[in-house]
Amino acid sequence: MNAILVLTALLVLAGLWIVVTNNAFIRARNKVDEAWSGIDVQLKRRHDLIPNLVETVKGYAEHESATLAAVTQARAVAMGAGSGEARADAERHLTSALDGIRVVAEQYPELRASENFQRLMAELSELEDQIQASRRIYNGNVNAYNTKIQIFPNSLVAGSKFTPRELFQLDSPAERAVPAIAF
Amino acid sequence: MGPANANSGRSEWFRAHMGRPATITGIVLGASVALLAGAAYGGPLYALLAPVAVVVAIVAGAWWLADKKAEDAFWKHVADSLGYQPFFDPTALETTTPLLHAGDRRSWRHELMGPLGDSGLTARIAQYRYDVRHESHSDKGTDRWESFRFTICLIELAEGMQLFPGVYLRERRGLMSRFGDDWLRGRRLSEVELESTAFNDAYELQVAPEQDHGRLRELFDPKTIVWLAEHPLKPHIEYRAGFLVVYVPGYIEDLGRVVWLLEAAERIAERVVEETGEAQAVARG
Repeated sequence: MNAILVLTALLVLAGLWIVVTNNAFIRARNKVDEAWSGIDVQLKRRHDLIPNLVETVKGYAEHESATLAAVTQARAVAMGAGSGEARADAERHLTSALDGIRVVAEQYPELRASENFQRLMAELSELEDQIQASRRIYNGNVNAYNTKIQIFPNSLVAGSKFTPRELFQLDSPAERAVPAIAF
Repeated sequence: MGPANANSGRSEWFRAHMGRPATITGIVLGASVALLAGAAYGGPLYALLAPVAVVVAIVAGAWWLADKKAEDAFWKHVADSLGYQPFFDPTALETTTPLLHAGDRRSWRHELMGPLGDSGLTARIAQYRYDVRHESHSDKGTDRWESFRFTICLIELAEGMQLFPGVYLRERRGLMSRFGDDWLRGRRLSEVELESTAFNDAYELQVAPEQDHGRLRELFDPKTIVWLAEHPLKPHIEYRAGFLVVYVPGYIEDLGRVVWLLEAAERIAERVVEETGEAQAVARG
């Protein structure tokens, strides 16, 4: 009789643990999705800003059509990219293309002095800061979620229902590389 | 260069107190009298212990005085470094936010007031303590007081009081501390989780029921969330009725941390002002 009671109690406890762990995974996964939507909002804001920026630059630097076309094309690709690595890749290209506008601006003092251009660049800079922060939040949530589902014995509950998520890297491999210092 | 923290110079003050003729005379005379009184009224053991007790009391008194002087010198240095002035009657602030109205009695130390960076706002900083009375259950027993200490920075910020009717951010408490005193207990507040797991692990964010959650998320934008989650001081916030209190538990006793607290307060105040400005701009169309 006692053995049956003990066994029942153990089964109830195990069942409770499975429910609690499963709910914790769902909460963690929802936080990952929520953080992703945060990145998505910031990236869309950046996409929305680009047409104005391109038009402003065009007004002062007509001969830089190649740079501006690269930005426009990179924006179109980024807007059409899905999610995950393809999206990160497209956004990386867009960031590089936008760097081209900064280089162009260096050659056109009138463009740099333009109030509209300065405002747009300030907005872009603020948006890029927010994107970086959103990305850190997302990657933090992904790390927490992945750790939660991968550690033992949680991995028994996670099974194939909860799969690890990928980090979102926006900086290029060249930027991530540690600079070599020669003495 | 002034004292780096509230303990700097304490040993020098102590040595100076102990080296004074008055202290030496006090020790010699006090110990002699205690020796004679102990021998006359208590016997050999009292004759031995009484002078020791007198010496210990005088040394402890000198240490206490040295500690107080070092602390006063440090806070004077803080005021001089920041261009702050002492301000009086902090009790007038007790009705502003729940923390400043907590407990059964409250006390303030080292109150200073001055400009908050380049924000154009005025900050009041102070060491603040509230005490909670635990009544004795026996007839002859005395009540027990439990103290809670904080270093606070208070800013009058009427701009955002309509957008943010009550925002309370503090470090996440452990299970045991939830049974302790809580000045927010009994208030109608709802807990909000933001999108960052690290932030939610570090902080509890509670808001008034009428708070617009969209606006709250604008206030705590991704940059602010990351900054708060990684801030070494883990600044706590109370914003209610146009008063912003940025605080940390315990007394801060070094200049670097005072500056950190002020910088944190400035950044949070600027966020409130920015958000209010944006909301007003949207309202104007």
